[in-house]
Amino acid sequence: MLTNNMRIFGALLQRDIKVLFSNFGSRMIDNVIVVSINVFLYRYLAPLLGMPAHLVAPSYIGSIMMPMVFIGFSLARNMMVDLHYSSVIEYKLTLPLPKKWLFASYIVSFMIEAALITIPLLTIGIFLLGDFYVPVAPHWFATPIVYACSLFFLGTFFLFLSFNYSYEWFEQNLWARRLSPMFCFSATFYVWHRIYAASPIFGGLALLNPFSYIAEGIRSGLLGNSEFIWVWYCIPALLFASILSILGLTVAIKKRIDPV
Amino acid sequence: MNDTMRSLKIFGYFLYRDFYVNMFKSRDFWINSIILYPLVAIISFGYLLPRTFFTGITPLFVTIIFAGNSIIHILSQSEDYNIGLLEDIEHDRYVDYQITILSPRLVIFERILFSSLFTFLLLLPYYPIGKLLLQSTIDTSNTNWFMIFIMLYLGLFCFCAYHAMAACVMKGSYQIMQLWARFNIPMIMLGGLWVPWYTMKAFSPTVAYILLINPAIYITEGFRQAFVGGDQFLPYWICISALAAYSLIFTLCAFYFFKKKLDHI
Repeated sequence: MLTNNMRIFGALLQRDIKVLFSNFGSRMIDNVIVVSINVFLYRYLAPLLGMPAHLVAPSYIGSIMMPMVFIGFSLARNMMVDLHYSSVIEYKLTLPLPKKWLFASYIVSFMIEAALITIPLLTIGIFLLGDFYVPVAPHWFATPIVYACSLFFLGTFFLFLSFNYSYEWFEQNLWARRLSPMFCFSATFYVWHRIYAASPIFGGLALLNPFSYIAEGIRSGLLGNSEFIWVWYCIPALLFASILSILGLTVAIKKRIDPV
Repeated sequence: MNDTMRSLKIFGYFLYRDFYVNMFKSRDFWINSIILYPLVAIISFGYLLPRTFFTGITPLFVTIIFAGNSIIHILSQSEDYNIGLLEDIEHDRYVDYQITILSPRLVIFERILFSSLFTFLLLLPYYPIGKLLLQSTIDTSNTNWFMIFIMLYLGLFCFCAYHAMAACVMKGSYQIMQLWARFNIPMIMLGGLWVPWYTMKAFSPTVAYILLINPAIYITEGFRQAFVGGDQFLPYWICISALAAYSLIFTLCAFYFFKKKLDHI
């Protein structure tokens, strides 16, 4: 039984990876352009305006969340369109595979895709930052863990969003009412201790936002400065947020697929 | 003469129809557009960004950053209302009906004109709300409010024409992400989003002059001139002439590519 499940699970992942590699080159070109522009902006132009040198690398590392969220949004939108129009998921539900395995395949597939795209971007960006990347005491062991936790959270969160909302609500309100505030009021673009120094209220709000733990966790892992939220605090926070997303997803799937 | 009058009348009807359809959008749309987006953007770009990214900030500096961030709203709103043309060509083809009763060029021009006017209405409250929320955080002692709205409309018209052209060039909606990654994001980031042109010139005059190819630079410089004034930013006449020239080029290109899209010969 387990072997059979693993075989179908593997086949689903293989299919998704095949689709990913069919346009992987083009997507990498898109992302490399964005990374190069970001590095140019953070490394050369922002310091001329008064950005302190020690904020260049953390700001750039935070910006890597953008491609992660865009890939997550693509997952959610594809699922939403599928639920609304084409219903490939109806075929997948008929496969002799437990539902948990099926939805796990979506999450794992997202994690593989996001990792294959963002890890090279992060590496290229850090390389291009040159002297501005000054790691103090990086947590090499914790970094892959926080990265995996971040991708796992984003996978469950975006899948939850696609099942929880109607197509119309999703199209009209998702960015305005969920993603934009989560992005702008988190420590994604801005380092958390700077937000807290600017406004303790927004600093407190950012602590309730799981996006902050992704950006701060990766910063702390790769740079190791004490000014970021410690990576070992970010990991449990992300796991907790993932559990909440899974609980929400479970209810939303049931409501969406079998509303009775 | 009769044909011209008839075309103008149909043009007017199409414009009226588009306004009618969009004015009666859901309550959610208006709440998002008039309240939520401005609120999030003003707090994030006008309050948090300058304080968290930079040191030694002054109200004048915050104003320069706040003015530059206008380019994000102009680009995203103009994209929202023009990329629909691509989806129309791909699926619904309402445009097929339109070109049977009106010249294709006027159909495209109507879309550009409508989207620029409608997005102008949506973005109109952004700057007064910004001033109300940010109070003395931004320095508006030398602000020319009339020129802000002029620059806003010209910027929107230019980028509505640009996105109408992009919609006619793209092969399908699957290329929208490519449009953003390869053109729009570089245009925003290197178009004076944070960094005024004079700072780019101080960094490298060659790079600064090359970046004058970017139409976004004339919007951000025009906004900075309107908000702050002074001779450190590009003068209005350069910004307005450049935006008018780019608008004309993008509109003519949109006509050409639209024709190619509908008639391959």
